[in-house]
Amino acid sequence: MSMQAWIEGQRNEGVAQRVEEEAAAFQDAELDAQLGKERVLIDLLNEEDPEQFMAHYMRNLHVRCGLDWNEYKAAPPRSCAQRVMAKVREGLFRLLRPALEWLTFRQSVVNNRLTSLLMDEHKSRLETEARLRAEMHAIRNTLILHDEENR
Amino acid sequence: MRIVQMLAGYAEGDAISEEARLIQRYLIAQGHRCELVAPADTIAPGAADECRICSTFRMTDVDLLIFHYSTHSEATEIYLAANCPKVVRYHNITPGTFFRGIDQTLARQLDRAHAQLAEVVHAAQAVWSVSDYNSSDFGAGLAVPVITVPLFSEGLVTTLTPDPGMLRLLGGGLTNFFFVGRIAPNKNVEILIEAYAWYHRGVDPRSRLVLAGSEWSCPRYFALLQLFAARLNLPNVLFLNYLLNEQLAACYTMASVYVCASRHEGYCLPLVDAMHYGIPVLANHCGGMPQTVGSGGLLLRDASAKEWAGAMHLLAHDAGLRERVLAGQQKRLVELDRSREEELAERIAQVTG
Repeated sequence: MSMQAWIEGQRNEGVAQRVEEEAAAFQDAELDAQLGKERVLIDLLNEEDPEQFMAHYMRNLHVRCGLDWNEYKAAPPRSCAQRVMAKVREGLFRLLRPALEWLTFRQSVVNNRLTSLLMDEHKSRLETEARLRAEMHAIRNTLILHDEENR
Repeated sequence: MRIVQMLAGYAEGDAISEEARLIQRYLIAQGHRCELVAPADTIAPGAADECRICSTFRMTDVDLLIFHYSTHSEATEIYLAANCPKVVRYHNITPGTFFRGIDQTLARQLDRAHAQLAEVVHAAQAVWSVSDYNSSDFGAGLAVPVITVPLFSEGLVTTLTPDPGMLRLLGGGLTNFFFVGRIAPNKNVEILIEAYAWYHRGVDPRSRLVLAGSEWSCPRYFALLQLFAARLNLPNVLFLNYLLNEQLAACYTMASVYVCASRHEGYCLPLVDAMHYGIPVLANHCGGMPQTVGSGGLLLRDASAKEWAGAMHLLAHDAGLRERVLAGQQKRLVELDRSREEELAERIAQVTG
């Protein structure tokens, strides 16, 4: 089915055609192939088994940045986070993005499964989330600056 | 009169909670009593003073109960049992299928809300639906009157001082494409990332895709999106999580185009905010969004990621098209600006006599 466009509240074939022309100009075989490969991630949305999802996710991070789920999963969340952050602060910029992903995922794991552990360690979960979020923001800012410096 | 508004959850930044607050403020100004109630576990910690717990709330001498319905919660049973005039404020129920395999609990809640919709509606004197799209959920022949009453909202005040830190973060002369909303599967954020990959590689690497919204709605989906952006080597896809109003104001201020590829929306308030900030809106032609933008925006249906990227490029850089879209949006804002308070008073009078 071909794309349709609406402007000023009306369907407009002229605008649709312009959008199609712009789209046709995007020719990048490398990106096309990469998107095809990475789209498997989106297929994970249909993965019914949370354990499979987690295994896939952690395998990816392990391969990419050496973070080993088995090494970290037994440790308290705060300790895990600190260890990742320490690596990040060592200036290993290549680790930034995976670390962010890992932290976020770790937070979700914490949220779902380890809440009680976290509550024991900290005054409140909110406090911890706020701190982690602030740290993530700080790293993200650094990442952006680094990226822009590289350009 | 004593009017109670019942919600499935209550939190700052949530459009339904914001609407309930606005209605409450208006009713109190008119000399009525108005209380907000929600289940204990869904009231945000900072909002406990504003919203009471529905399970312990005494539902006596209530002249009108306004039930904001969007998902199943323990509030539904309390609403059904209440013996007073009732109105359903229908905000739409996101189909549970979007969450299956990602958040089974939420998927079940949404399925249950769908299953109970008829019972909920038949217990009311009237249904106020936020869009015609939502009203279409009820079909023909319903005994209860269904009226489309657009969402009450002050929106983001454009005179709000934008957060300086966020302005700096989004500065540097880069073209910013902005989306804000719950980061949940029905929002179709993955196609925005894919479209941005094309734009970034094919048009302008000095650009950003700025995604704001809580990661807690669906952590698994949020993590997956981050991974997707990372694998595509797109460090300029920014995940900003939940933002304060001043931070949001900064995002709108710095945005070149507002983008929303959502596959299911009852109304979509950020589209209106974007129009207020004078940013062209690019959105999916589905759900309540065509009605929300009216004569404004550029809407696409059945567009591929490349086509989204093409439209992003046109709206960011084609001055003629951009002006045309912005003119349509100004016209729509005038339509939305008429007095909503009078409308609310009229609707309440209709059900309370």
